[in-house]
Amino acid sequence: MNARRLGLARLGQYAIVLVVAVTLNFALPRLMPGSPLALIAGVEAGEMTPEERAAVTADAGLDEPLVVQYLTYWKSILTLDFGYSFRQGTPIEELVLGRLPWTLLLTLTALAVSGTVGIALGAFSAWRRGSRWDVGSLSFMIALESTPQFWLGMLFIALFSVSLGWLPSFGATTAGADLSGLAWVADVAEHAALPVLTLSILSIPAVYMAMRYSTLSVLGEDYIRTAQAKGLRPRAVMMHHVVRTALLPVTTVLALRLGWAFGGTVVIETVFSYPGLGRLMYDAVSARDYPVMQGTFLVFTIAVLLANLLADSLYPRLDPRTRV
Amino acid sequence: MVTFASGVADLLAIRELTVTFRTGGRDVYAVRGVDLSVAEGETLAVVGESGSGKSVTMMAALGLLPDNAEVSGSIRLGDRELLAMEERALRSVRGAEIGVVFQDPMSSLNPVHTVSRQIAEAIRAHSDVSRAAAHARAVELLGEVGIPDAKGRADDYPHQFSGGMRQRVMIAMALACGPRVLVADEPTTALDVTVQAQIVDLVDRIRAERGMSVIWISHDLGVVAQIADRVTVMYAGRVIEQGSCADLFDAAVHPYTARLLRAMPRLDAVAGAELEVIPGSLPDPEAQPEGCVFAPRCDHTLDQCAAARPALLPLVAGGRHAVACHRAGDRLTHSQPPGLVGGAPAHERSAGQIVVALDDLRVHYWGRGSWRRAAAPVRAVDGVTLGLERGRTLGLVGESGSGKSTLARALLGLEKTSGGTVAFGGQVLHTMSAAGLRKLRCTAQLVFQDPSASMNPALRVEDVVSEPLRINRRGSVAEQRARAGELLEIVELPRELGRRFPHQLSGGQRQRVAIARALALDPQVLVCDEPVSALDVSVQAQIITLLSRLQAELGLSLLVISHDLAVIRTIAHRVAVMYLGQIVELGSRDDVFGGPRHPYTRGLLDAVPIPDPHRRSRPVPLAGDPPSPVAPPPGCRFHERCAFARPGLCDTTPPPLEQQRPGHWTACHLADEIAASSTAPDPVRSATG
Repeated sequence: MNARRLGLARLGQYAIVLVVAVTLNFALPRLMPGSPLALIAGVEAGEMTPEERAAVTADAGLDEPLVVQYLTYWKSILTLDFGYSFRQGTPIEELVLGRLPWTLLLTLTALAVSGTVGIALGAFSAWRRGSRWDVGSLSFMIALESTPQFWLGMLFIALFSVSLGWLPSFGATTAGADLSGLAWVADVAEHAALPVLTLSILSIPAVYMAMRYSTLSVLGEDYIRTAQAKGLRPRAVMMHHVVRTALLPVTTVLALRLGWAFGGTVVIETVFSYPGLGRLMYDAVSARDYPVMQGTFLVFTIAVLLANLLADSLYPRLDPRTRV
Repeated sequence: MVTFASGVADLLAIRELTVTFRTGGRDVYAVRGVDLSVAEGETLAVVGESGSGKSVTMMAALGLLPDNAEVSGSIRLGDRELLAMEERALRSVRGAEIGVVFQDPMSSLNPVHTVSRQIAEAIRAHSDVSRAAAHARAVELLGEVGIPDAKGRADDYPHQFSGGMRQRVMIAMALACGPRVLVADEPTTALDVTVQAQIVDLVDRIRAERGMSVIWISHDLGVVAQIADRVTVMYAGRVIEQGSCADLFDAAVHPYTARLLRAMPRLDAVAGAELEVIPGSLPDPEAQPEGCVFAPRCDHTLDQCAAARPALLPLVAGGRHAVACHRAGDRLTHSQPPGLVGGAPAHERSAGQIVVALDDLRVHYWGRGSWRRAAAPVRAVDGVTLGLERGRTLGLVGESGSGKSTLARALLGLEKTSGGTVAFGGQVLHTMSAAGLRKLRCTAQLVFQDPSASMNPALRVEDVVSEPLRINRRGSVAEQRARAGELLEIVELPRELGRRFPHQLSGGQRQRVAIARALALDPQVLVCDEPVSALDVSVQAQIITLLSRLQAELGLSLLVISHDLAVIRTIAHRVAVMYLGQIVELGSRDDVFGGPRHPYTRGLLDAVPIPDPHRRSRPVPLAGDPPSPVAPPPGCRFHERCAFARPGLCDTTPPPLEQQRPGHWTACHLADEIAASSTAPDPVRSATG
């Protein structure tokens, strides 16, 4: 079996997951209590006249058989037509695409920061296993792991925005300021700083733990002794042999963390009033704006799938044993 | 303290070395005072069982001990004291002046880097050369150690090489900077006997070409006799005897050395010879005995043996044969105590009743193919017909990958067969109901190679032993516990051991526990897959003796799988030789070992090192590795490695397994011719008549 065929088989698996996610997304509002009319009209069905009800139902295709509705749903997804937000009346794809860059900014930056810091600290901790530093950082990470997101976010707002006044506490840009070029970049960075910091800090422990454990097991491997017996400097042993191999299982953790970060944006973006997908989802849930909820859910699913696909395709590059 | 009058200067000299590991308030005395040295161009073998401190001694010389190790004494390389060196200076010695080859080449090579990169890395660590130059040198080295198509394979990863080729890569890496001393720490233990012979020859050739010194650490006295100029025997962290290879094998003085030599199953012994068992075990590594470390296991002790530590002194003033024994001058006769016997009774020709019959058994593993075309199967077992006789032992030998273990698993119904049948007393396995199969399983039990990996570490020994009873709901808890106690006594362990956990036992004790567990359900058939491979020589003898005794007492039928032909020769009544999923030779122990008719059997036997330094000229070892069982060669599967193969016959027509002599089956077209041709002298045949 060649690599291309293996790649196709893997893509097939992802396609199956996607179909299941889309089907769940289709079923979700239909399983909710109350009439699906609420989904379209956004008001209690009881407040409508029977004629109005029939008109809306027919308009939305809800009188069709379920199979037809399902196929119609697929058609709308494939043509990127997700319907309209009843609250704002704007097309969903427009809403989502407008918000997506901000969420990507937060999550990808947070992933990069937490990945780098977590890997470095984890490797160092394992290298100095049992030292005061190792025990201290391990305890700290465990404490951090159990810290609620919103609490840390609010703590940062209280400290950096309210008390010290260093950083803005809400929005993605300064409202009304017409900035461009570097000034705009600086403004965006200032606004993203606290949400990114919160998301990163909370993502570090998982990466740290995975890297620390992975490094510890690699340090016990025979080939590390071989590397030392070759007379390599400790730093060369650490970089070329220990960290390089210890990173393998951590890539999977990082991919999973991306999915976690997407979920985390719901809370973080709400705390920091950040105009991303998480905030959009939160608002949609509060207002029972089902079409928007469905749209954001789908984007989150696809993002997580893409992250896993990336990790999967990266793995053979990192570990020659998994190449076919 | 010990000085040898000799003209050759010592290159690496270790004096009064002690290594103590301090762990959580407990001290483990790993090395208790070691003196050894190796001269320029010489091969020194350091022999000892596990726990003797032989590897720790070498790691101390390289400065590679963990931080909790406390080292004292002296290790000198030339005129430099290694123990006084700073880490930075020591690093320039490691790899550059002392090269190391470790035991398991798979785990000792980094799986994510190409082999050339790992060799080049060693070169660049010690000299300022470009990447390209280091790579070119790596390719040269790979060629030197006998990697075919070195240039093309240099950028392959370790997992793409066979075990023997991987060990060659390790050797190339150790040679990268032209070291003056090569330390080889059990370099062939993880390899097949045929590959071992190749590696031994390779190291010896390179040593001669480069004028390098070699320190060969081993527990295998056969290999040592073939390669060493001098031998140092270690026991419990001390050197107890050292001398020239011939002196040691011909006239061992220390009781331990003498008994070790007799405990070892050897191919040139009289067939069915008894193995000597060294009773007892190593002293507690946390104790620091005042006297001789071997005294508790020695038959010749005097009062002073327990009181004072014997010094390592030359037998003759100025001589090179030195012994650490108070009675070294007493010319002890190391006679074998009566009653401690092992080995299978010889010369039994009558065929017994067949307990398990395999008929054209096939086990193929199917890889994942594409949706259009199925992948070619791995033909692990490919048409085996065999019978296991009641109360007798069938030995199964072959290189790794020949399908021995798969065959055993299929026999026990643990492997889905792809064709043929396994029948227990006429009952065919795959036609049986699940309940019937469960019942049948009670009559056939399995003993694994690694006893610690096959036991739940959270269970006490008595629970490990009684687990089969629990699973099959035999008796009350109290009865099960009582039976566990009985079983422990059957395998010669004290009942009290039942309260301990597996990790608190020694390797030999754990293997006894594994045997006790296998006996719990009163089986008729015991399948032992490499039962002594993970054990030390003296313990091997104990387990072999135990298995023979149990067979005689309980009428067990044994299937013993081993890559160690000497072990099979000691324990088996009949022997089957397996190659690439098929039986190529089958016959009585004496027929197969005394008059092998298949060239593969011959190659295997020739590759076994004889523990006799006077018999070093051996036939050329069997070259190459076995071909892939996915696409076995057409015709005779062995023809590609066979020196006798005849084109047009052997490469086209598969030879059937025929009874060419009474009770002796061979699958070879040319067996008669080969038997008639007098090739290399065969030490085995001359010894067994």
